Amino acid sequence: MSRIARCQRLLLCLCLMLALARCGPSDEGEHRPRGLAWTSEQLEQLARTGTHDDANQLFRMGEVPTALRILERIQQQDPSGTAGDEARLTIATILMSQRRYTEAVPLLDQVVKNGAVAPDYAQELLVEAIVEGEIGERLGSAMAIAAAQLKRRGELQSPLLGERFAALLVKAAAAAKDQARVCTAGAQYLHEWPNTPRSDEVRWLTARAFDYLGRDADTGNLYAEIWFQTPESPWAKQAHERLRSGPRRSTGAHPMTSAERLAFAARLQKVGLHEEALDELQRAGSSGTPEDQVRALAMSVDSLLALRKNRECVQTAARLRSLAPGSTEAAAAGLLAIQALRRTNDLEAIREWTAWLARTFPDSATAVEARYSLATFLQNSDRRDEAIPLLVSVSQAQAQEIADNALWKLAWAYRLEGRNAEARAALERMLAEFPESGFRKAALYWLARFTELQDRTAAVKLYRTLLREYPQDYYGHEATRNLLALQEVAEWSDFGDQKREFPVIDPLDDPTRRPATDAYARAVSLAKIGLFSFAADELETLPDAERDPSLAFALADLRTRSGDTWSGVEILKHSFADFLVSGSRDTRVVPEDFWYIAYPYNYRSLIEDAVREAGLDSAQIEPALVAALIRMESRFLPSAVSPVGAVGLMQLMPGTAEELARKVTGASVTRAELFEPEINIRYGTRYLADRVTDFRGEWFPAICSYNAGVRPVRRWWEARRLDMPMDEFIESIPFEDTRRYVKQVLGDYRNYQWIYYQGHRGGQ
Amino acid sequence: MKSRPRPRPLGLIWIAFTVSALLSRELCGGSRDPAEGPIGGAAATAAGRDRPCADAGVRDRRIPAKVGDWALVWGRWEAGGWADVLESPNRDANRIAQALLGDRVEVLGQRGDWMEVIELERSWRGWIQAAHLTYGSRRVRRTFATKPTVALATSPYLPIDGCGSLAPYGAQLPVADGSKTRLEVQLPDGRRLDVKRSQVALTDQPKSISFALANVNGLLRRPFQTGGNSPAAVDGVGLVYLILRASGHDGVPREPAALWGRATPVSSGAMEPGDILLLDTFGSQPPSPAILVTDRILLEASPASGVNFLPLDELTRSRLREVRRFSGTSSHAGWSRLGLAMRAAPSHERDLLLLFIVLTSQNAALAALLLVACHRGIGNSD
Repeated sequence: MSRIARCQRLLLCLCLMLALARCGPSDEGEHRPRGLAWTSEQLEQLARTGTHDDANQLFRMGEVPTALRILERIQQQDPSGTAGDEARLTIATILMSQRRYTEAVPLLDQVVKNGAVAPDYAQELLVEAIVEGEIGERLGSAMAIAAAQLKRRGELQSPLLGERFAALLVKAAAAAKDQARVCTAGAQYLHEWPNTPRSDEVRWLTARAFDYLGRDADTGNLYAEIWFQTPESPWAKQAHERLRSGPRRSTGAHPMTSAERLAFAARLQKVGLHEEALDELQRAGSSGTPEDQVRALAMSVDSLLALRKNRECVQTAARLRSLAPGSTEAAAAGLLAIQALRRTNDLEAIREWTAWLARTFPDSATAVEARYSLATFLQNSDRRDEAIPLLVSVSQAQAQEIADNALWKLAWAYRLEGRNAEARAALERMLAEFPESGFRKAALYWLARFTELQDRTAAVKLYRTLLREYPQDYYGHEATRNLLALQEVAEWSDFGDQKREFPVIDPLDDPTRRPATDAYARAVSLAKIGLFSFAADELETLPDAERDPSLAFALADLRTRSGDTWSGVEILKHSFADFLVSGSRDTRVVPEDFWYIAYPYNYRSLIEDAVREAGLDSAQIEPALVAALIRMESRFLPSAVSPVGAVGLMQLMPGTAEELARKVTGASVTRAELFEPEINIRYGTRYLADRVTDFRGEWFPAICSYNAGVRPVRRWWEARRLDMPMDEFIESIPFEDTRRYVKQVLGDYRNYQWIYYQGHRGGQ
Repeated sequence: MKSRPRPRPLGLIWIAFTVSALLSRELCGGSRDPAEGPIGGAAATAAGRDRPCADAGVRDRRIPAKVGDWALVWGRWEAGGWADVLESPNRDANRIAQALLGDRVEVLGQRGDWMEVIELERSWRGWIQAAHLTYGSRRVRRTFATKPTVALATSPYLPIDGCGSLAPYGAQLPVADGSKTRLEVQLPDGRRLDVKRSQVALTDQPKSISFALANVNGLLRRPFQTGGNSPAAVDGVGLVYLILRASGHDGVPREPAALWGRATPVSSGAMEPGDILLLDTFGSQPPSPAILVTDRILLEASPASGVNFLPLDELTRSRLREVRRFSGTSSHAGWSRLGLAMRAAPSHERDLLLLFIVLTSQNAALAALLLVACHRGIGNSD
């Protein structure tokens, strides 16, 4: 053998060895997030010996009691030193994130007194705790601190702090009912910072103060500004009511043109203020051009449908049809009229509108959509023999959003008719022709389910595709279980796309990593001592914050840690959408923090306590289920309010909570109290447990009824075929929202299980 | 005191018995095709369509059950041959268990349309709607009281006729007749059902749990419901109860502590398929059982997934509290039930049973033992 050949063989052997080292068996534990394997014994050990960093990580995992124990120990061991002050600041922010302001104040007093660690930030937190906690006797000193800091804003540790102190001064003055001070401080704030996340509240407080002092012109101007410029703000509706009821009128506001009114109505529609939108549309229609009239009528149809005024919706669409029969507005209104008619079960009228659209707009997307709408109505009314030909024709249309919908419905129509081969063919066609369809995961799943008895190998392949493409989805989780039924066990590495590389993460551990950016250096220092909200604000000022994925991830992380879980998830959805859907569970591919941001678990101990309490005399529910429900309802935002008035973390209706409170404790609960995480979680969990008991321990109908109400769910549940498998029941839920809701909650329940409970005995 | 009818001469009864037995064989004979293999719910209904619906016409009329006597569970035929057993005579009361087609119960009392019953082997006790019980015709009662019982292990149901009547997985019914490959089992409504020997387990020779697990796929994705132990719905304990019944174990307690008491503890290192793993649940709730199917796969009934498989992974192992194993032999042989049945039977039927035992028994010693048991029963009863 020549020397070259020997070298080649040696090289080949080396390559093989390297390849084997990469692919060979390795310690599975290393692939998994380290935090996931913590047991109660390890947590106890950490509480005794853990560092500040450990506490930050525990807080991230929702292990708040252990995190607080570590920090308490550190602060007691170091009453006046830097480490103690850092611990005190972090404890204070954790307590404030749980709205325990009164407990945070003494700690912050001590940090301010020592003055060694982040003095300006400590003062800001102190003022915030006094104002938010409404600690009356300290409001005067809070105003004094805020005013003094505002004066020396050029010397503060961060340029962002000036704005914060200015807003706090307004809030403190409002809490102290010092209306004159609110007016001056508010006007100054709005002059300097008219468009910040806090300016809506400042504008509202200032307007109220002007109102109190009887300064009608200023009041009117501000109310008008709130209503017309920020109809999305939580105070817009109240401002509108005051504007209409009071004698105050904006002196400087000019009358709106009909085009402006239409644009304003569109904004109102976007935030769900349909009654108010209809008012504006009526004015725009009566005073505008014929084109404006047509547009106003078309938009009115939209609002009437949203308000479920079905009869008026159809009448308005009919007016539009006679006024501008060939217009695109009439076509869109026709589709909405069909939707309204579906609610009133008027089949003949639906047929008539469908025929009119087909005649007036032949071969158009609108005509196809109308046919689809009619077919859906027929299918829901068990007239599948009529629905099937219509769905076939729609599925041959060009427009994907309708064609794949039609194929999905067609597959189920065939399935319910016992025509399994045709059902499979429809799903196969969907997968082949519409690979990007939103129905892809459902099509993969049901094709596998329809196939598993005839062709096990094909079914296994389809289920494995689901695991790879949608591991965190309801269908991915169901696929895992269905594979077990086929004697196939999915391994850790089967979940998600192993090849898609995650961007390099900025660990925020080195202030000099990005030279010449002071904000970055400040963000790193602030994150280290647990002042995450301030750190996130600093990071957000960097010009690359949105474009640079490593900064975006750090920002999402900081937002979540600061309690703004909503923003954390939104940033991931914007910058890491692919990983949310098909991210690998291997921590060498996707970092563990990604999952903590995507599936936040604040208030974990409150949730676990509430589940224990509810489980004593009720059905088996698990904290992971409650966490999934909260993620779905409010993304862990305690101040969340829905358009229909549901409140807080678990989105309870005040009336329902009141009834429940009287039943459980004999006491009452106010709407304001429902914003308290502890109260909201306790009653929400109890409500869920009661629904589970209603349905004899079963979760599916209980989750459905949390979304759709008990009565309709009981109707579907009792009318279902007794031999109907559970996955089919979920697919047959008549309300699309509820169908999506239950799948999301069940999928997320499994995600919370593997993220937070894998290898850890919850509640033990 | 209730007056009892005077016993008729034995000779006349015997002739009547023989004629009726011949007639019933003629009417309910083995011309029906049994279902082939494990089938799903929709398939079960479809297979049922192949059986003649006219069969339904030859059912016995339901005879109202009597307080103080034993009765048979008539079940909700169309829904799958089961009936809810509730804590109190009220539709909204907690469910304790589900009685399966052909279960034998002692009627303890009656309130309106509800009867308080206890399963003859003391598996469960509760209230059941009177419409789901039958006293049974003489022939049916005789078969149920004297013949060896087999457990149906075809999941979820075995179709009985083309009218949608179903016999559930786990039902234990007496053998009316049999050959090498097939058996005819007696239904409470007088009809007989033809089954393959390979699809049943004899209750006096129970098989291992793996036997019932091999045919369990028809239960997959069935809902979880508290107190459920039928193919329509199960809870964790109910699933184990049902699978034990389908394996041929009789007298299986429905109450968890009593059920686990019948099994022996096994170390987690020596687990085998068929063993029951008791898994911790959150908080202080009772453990949730799962059945080991293979070395890496478990079967469970969970509120989140209904009847489903789960992997024996790290999460599951971390929840493992203990492992229990049911032996292949039953602790309750048919004797005790027969004794109870005899004790509960009215006197005129006891004469018939005694005669039947003597005439049909091939074994003198067995006949003698049965006679002693029956006389003790009569003595106790009187």
